[in-house]
Amino acid sequence: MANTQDRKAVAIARMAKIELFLSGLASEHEAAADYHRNMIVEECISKGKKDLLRARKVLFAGQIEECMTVLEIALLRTNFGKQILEADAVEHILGESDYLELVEAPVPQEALIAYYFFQLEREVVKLYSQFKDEAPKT
Amino acid sequence: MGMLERLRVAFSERQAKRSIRSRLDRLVDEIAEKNRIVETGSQPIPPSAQQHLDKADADYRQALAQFQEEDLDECNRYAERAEIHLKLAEVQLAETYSSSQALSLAESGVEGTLAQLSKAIVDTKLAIEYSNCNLSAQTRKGLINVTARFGNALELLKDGESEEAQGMAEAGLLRLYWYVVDLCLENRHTIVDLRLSKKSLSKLGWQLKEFVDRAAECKQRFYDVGKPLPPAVGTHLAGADQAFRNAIDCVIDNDDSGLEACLAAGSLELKTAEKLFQSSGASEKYEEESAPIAVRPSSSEYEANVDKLKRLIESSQTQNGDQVIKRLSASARYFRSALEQLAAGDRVEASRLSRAAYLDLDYARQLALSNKPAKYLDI
Repeated sequence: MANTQDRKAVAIARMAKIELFLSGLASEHEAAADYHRNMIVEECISKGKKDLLRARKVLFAGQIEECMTVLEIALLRTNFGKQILEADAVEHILGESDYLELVEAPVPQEALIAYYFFQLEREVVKLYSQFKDEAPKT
Repeated sequence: MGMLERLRVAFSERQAKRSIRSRLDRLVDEIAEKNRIVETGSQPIPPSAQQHLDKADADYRQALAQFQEEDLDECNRYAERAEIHLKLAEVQLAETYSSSQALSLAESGVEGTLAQLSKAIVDTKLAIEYSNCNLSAQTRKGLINVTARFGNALELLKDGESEEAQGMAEAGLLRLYWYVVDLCLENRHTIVDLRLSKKSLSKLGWQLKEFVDRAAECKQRFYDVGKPLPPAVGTHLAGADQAFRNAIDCVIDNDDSGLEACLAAGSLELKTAEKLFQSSGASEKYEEESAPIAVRPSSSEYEANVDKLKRLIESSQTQNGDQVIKRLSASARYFRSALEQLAAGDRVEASRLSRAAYLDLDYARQLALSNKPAKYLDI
């Protein structure tokens, strides 16, 4: 019983800190939106909030170990978002603003089809160019 | 029920009520105390702490209502929730954002592997941005896929599938390692030095990492010669790449025997490539040529891209969809045959087939994307 109470206290303390960490990240992300809005960070924040909500639900239900697992997930997500945001800040400070996006931007299907055709054409031309001077065209 | 028993039950209910009553009293005192701290404090308080105080107050009121209706179980449930909100507020009132950043991440287990993966992704992003190195579309896409794998592994872990999450995280880490090695080779210098920890990988995962190192050393030796690769060497290097991709699928599926087989196949491909390279006397044989080194595209990669395009066309109901797919299939067949003829040393036939692959591809493109009638246009 005492052990359960200890684990519960640890879970609550960790949840409180992660929640604070996440809300700090959200504020920093808003501030950084002046120069760049990173979709990965946005996703980390929204999914992190959902994780914390779930962690609280399972804690209310007395499932402390599951709560700890969900909290670790929320922390990993928040920490990832924080690191990405810091990397973007470095790129901004260096004045380059050539951000490497780590998420696929939604592309219209026709553009995607054209892109694949372009890639395939490049590959086949690359192969053909190896012997373009030696092969007779018929 | 006897008189004594009835008395015992009544006494027990009364005790329970008294206990809950005092729990609620303590709760209301603590809520008042925390609100007083918030109102009199000079520092701004975190919005989330205020939200927890409000929720604690709301849950306390619910608990009180249930107490008045004599539903003690529900009353206890709300009281418990109010206490949790209160403790969350208490910790947050004592914390600052900067101290919350010092939260330690796990170093071992699936969480440790995920922590290492997230750090490796960010280190790679930073290094690419900082160095302004060449980044091929394929590597960029690969990095996006690795990032997606990080998210997928988190979801698997959330669903309680920790073994699968470990497999996904390891696969992401090893794939990223491969991309970074390739990136350094493409740019001819170290862009980022990812140091994978043994803790994050299984025994076989570590062997796969060592395989990537051997493949990188092998490719480096070939590149250092500065001459085009003999075609057969390129074929075996492509074979090693394919074995690695298959091995990654085995890591995701937790298929150890499959992984061992892929490692053996990949190692054999590498050894064969090295032997062929040495025995071909590549440095003398290609001395007069000055073309940049080009490893031949592998047919499986071309075919994989054709398959993706076919799926896209099917799902988007592109105009002339059936004909486009037929032409694409023909193009993939010609491409594969061209590579086979090239490997067999028949360059004229390889040339003819690669041209045919182009013609069918271009025809398919016109059918799919142009409103004019399609024509076979030469390369």
